[in-house]
Amino acid sequence: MIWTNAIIQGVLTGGLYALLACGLSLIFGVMRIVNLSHGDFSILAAYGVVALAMHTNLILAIVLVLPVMAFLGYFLQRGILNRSLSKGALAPLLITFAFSIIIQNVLLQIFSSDNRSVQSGRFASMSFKITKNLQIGALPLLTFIVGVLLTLGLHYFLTYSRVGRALRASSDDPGAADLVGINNKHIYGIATAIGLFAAGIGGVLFGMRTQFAPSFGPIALIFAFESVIIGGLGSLWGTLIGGIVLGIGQSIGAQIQPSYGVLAGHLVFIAILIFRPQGLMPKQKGK
Amino acid sequence: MSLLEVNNIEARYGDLKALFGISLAINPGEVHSVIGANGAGKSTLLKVIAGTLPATAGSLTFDGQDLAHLSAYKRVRAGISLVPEGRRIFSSLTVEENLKVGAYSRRKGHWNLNKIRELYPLLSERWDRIGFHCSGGELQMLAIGRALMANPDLLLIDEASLGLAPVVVAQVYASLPQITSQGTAVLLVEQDMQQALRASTHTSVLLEGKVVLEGSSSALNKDEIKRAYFGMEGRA
Repeated sequence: MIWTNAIIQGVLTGGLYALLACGLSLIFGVMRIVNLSHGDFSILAAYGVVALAMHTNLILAIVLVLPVMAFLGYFLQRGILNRSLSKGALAPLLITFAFSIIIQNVLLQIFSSDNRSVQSGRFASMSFKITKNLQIGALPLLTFIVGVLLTLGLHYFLTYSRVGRALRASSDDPGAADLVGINNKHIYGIATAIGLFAAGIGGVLFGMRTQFAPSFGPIALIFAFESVIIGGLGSLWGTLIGGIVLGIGQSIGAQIQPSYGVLAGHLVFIAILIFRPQGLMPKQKGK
Repeated sequence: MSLLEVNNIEARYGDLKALFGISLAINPGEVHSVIGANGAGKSTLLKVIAGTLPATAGSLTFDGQDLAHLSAYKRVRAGISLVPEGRRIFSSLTVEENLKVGAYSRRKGHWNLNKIRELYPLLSERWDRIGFHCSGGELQMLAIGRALMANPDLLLIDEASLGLAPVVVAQVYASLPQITSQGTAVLLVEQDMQQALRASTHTSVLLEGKVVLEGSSSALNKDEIKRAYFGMEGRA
């Protein structure tokens, strides 16, 4: 029973990792940019909600912060990252590294290095009793459902919408996209907007679950990276599965010995790299 | 006034000058072919018109509008579509999705998914196949279909017959009259001289980045074309 419990909790945690990771996956998939500041944007959103929630209620704070993240993504992409794309792979990587340092230090200035959390009141400790030994927390469940819904939503957006198709076309061949009337720079802006929007959702739910400090971005980034790699680069569903596998690994590790949780997650990641480097659900050839 | 006026266009790749003052004019509904040997500047000319390579001198006027500062994607919106060398089909998108992406610019007109299916029944059979798995002939038809989905006033086709079986080339050329009957002008770059002359109303022969011969395709003298094509003018 304790193992069933560990697996279920792991799956639910996986939803959080998928949320932290799916924007990273999208940004890499469309522009081949590895966004080193992805975790920091998640933490930025969490702080944004903390700051706003002091003056208004939590829901409103979240509803206000997420669109700001999307706008921020669009303008950072169009204003800064797009200019770096023609200068090799290293330039955008360094710029996102710079974003990471800037965000961490700005947060440190404003909020100090004290731990904070997004206060969701009684909701944080609510749970549903399934059997005598098995309880499912409302927050982990909500996180998981949001993770699945976001993945589903992104899937439908990319598959069936005009802009979604343009994103995929631009990812396949930006030169050809230009020739069918697609403004790649705008499309890239949209990709980053969606990416940071998703990072924001992940960050806020992360901040409801555990305490965080300005330096937590890279930790969120590592979990996100591992989810993307375990799932297979360029596949959204793979990223969700990768997050779940990572979550299960951590949770089983923690069941063995509480301090082994994160380590066990890393070991799963390394095992995947060794035995299935393309990830669990790699993008099909030509796909 | 012509639909497209190309006046004394020059273009270069770095230090290498590729076009030395090209001029031509295209009217609605006409097929204009540009022929010439490898490296004569045919594809370069199409790139300059489509906007993927800047002209270093000269002017381009389309529908009375100066194209100088219009980037490639805006030229699609203005009504110029290029079927590029190598087709450049989106390999992870299905045939249907490639066509839908072709309509991204939302230009109104005759062409839509059903009209493309009628034009190229073969594509209809491959509707859900991804670009990566399409044959050369399918890719060429899809590339033209995708360009048509933007309902262009001017369709630029680069080397439609390159690497294709003769029967497929025949199908592709057989579709041209249906395209021009909608008023669309076609500028065709072709290495196959006979094919180009048969399909077009006007022909320009390029040699080393210059127009060395031009005229009505039916009136041009074959020997004269051959001499121009190979740069033997004056010597023959």
